Amino acid sequence: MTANIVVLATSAILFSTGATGVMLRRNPVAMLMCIEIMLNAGNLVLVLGSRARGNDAGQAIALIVLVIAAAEAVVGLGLALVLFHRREPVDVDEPRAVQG
Amino acid sequence: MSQVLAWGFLLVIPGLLLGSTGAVKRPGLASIPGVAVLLSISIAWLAGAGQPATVELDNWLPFLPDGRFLLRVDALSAFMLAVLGLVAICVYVYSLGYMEGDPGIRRFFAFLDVFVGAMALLVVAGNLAVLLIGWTGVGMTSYFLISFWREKPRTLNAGLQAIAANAVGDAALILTAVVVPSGCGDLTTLQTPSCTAGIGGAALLAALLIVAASAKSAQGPLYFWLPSAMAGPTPISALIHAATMVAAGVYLLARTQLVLSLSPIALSAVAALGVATALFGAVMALRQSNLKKGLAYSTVSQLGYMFAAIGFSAPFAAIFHLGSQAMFKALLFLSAGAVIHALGGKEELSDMGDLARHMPGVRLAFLVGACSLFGFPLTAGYFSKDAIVDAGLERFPALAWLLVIGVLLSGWYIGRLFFATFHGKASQAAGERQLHPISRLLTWPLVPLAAGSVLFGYVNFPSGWLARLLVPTTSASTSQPFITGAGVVALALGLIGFAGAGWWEQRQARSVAALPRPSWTDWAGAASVKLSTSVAAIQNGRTGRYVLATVLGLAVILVAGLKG
Amino acid sequence: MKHEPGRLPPRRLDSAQGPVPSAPSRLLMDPLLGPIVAACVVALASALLVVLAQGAIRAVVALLAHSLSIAALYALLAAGLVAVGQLLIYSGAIVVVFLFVVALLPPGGRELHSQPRRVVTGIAVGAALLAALYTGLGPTISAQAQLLAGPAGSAVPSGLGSVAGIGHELFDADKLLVPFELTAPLLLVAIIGSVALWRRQGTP
Repeated sequence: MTANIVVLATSAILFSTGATGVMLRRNPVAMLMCIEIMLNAGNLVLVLGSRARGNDAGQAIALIVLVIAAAEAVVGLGLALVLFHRREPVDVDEPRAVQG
Repeated sequence: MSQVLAWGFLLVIPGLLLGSTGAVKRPGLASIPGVAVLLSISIAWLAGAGQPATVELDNWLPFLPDGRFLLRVDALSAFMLAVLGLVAICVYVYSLGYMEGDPGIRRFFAFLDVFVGAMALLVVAGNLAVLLIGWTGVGMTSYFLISFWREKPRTLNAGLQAIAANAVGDAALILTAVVVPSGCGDLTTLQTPSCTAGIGGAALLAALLIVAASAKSAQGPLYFWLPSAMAGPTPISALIHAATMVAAGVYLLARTQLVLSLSPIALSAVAALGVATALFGAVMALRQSNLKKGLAYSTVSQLGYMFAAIGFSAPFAAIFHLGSQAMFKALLFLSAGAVIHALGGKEELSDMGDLARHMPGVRLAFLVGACSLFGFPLTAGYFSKDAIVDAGLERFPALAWLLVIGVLLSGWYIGRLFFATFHGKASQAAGERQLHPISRLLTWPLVPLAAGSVLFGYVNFPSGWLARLLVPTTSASTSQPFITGAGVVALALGLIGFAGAGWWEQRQARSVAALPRPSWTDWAGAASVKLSTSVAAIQNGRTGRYVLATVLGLAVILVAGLKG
Repeated sequence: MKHEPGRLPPRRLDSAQGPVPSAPSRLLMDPLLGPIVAACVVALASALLVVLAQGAIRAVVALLAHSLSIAALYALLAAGLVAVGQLLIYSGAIVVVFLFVVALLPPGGRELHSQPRRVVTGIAVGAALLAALYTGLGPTISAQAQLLAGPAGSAVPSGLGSVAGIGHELFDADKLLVPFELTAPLLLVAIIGSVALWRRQGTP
């Protein structure tokens, strides 16, 4: 049992925790937070792989993922705000017309 | 010069920027110079000033077997660009008048610019990767323009149909780009043994290319989107859904003819598909009560002729007919648009009739287009349709004679549309019919197209100039006979059809009511509605279910996919 | 995958063939094991808090702790630049945006409680995912065990995680240039999209 294995296991558990959170929560903001946890877990594996292989590619990809996470948060939060202002309480399971 | 032509698709950008940012008062006006430059360069190239050339940027999409950015200018590309440029200029000028006062006019011209750019990229694409960009680009703009009048009912639906059919074609083309062995993808070397050595061999490549082309060109079962696409503005129907984009499938097959010829089954399949679609489209065109839909089915039918030519191993005849069809079909659509504009947007044949007195010029233009369509002697359609039938008599005589019978139907349906629109009895409401004045912008573009519909055939007759020009890319016999036995029969049948339609229209007060539908269509419709509602039940709008399904799918992929 | 010879870590297999240190002694040899385990524990605990917290503010604060602990892990794994990026982008920007949104939420919009069935399914599927990760990726990982066997904290290959090295990865046309450049339009589209969402919502 080395530190690498610890990090790998942590990241697997974090990923599953995040996924469970997305399935449990009904508040869109909370769901987004859980998705951020999943992204972090993925990034952790990238950085770990970079460390284990002695190659910078993993870290570079991790930086790109950070940018994508930022874009995702911006759009997701914008959607969540619109949802909250339309009606309350908010429940993502409420079937609603999605045609534009 | 060839380099300029290869990058010609960028010529739309100035017009796009000026028009969409509002720098010019009338959007569309700024786009015309770019298209004019494109047209003049491509004509100069064809006239002998240009040499075939390629532009290549290495390793642009490294995940594809052939990820180069490869542009190729040769006679076929230059010819397609010339056709595109000519029809596009006419449509731009026409749209200036047709769309005047429309609140979305800026959006309209922006989409039009993007379409012209994507189409110009499509025809100069040297390999599959670049072709895909143009291919999806034209499909996308086609969708946007079909759904252009968003508030009108059914336009969104029509656009979605187009997207659905195009998605099938795009998927087939993407598969083609992926299944070829590494390093393959150049459209001119797809038939080499090293490139047909991938999975499925030449037969799979040919099948995928045929599926892609029939989706774009509305052939066989994938025809359904083209008649619905008439929901878009009429200039769009002329440019995209008659002259250029729908011809892209024919262009692709002509380009990759040598791949198809490796697989005899594929060739016979294309020929049979083309002939069946040609006859089906002609019969359907006879049954339409809507002027634009009638013309749309006529386009389906004419594209069937071109597919048949591909199947007859006569790509030159296909491209020749593509050129003349672009002329006369754009002419027919633009004159139909003038009629519709004058009637204030009414498209039904029952609202028309007896318009000859009010718009003699438009009637003349429509007549010229109609004559070219059914192959009146010395018009463009006469030469190009003959070329197809001749090629067919050598390889599949039975199919070729079916095409000759199709000419009778062509004459009949176009005659019916012509006489029902301009002659016959006016509808009951004709008394209070107020005809809108037609601006000159709507009539002047008809002149070059009418001239093209008559004169286009002479680029190949009697000199065989076009055939010689295209021979390096397509195999063709360079001589163009003036009279053939089949041609005379076709001409006679076409004239009989046209005249018969006129006689029928005069006699029958109003024959345009649609025939009763057979019951099996209702049954099939009900069955497909039932099927789609049951599938739609999965899409219940509950985010939680979607997340659950996604996570479960991920788990399945992890266990099943990665373990092996 | 190309290995640049200058940047490869010294092969640990050679040293492992010498006097093999027993597992406990190797554990002692890794000076960063303690901090890494601590950071992992914090990351896990705060993630659990994010999932379970009832109030939105609490969840955001837990997310902040989570993000900080992940940044610490990056730093411990010899990824300094990524750690700084995590601090700036995640802790600095994203979490603060979350905080803003929570503050902007109209009062009274409480989250509905999850029904028991939903809780059970969620946890079951989450556990299934973890099991799938283990069964799916376990063989691959054990096949590469020698890569992971080395102590994480010590003997960092020189130059790993340097700005110059990552810059070479990001701006080399054969490596990550295209994805990196694509993030620029992605961000632009995200900005335009959120503005458009808000404007459309303002004028129903």
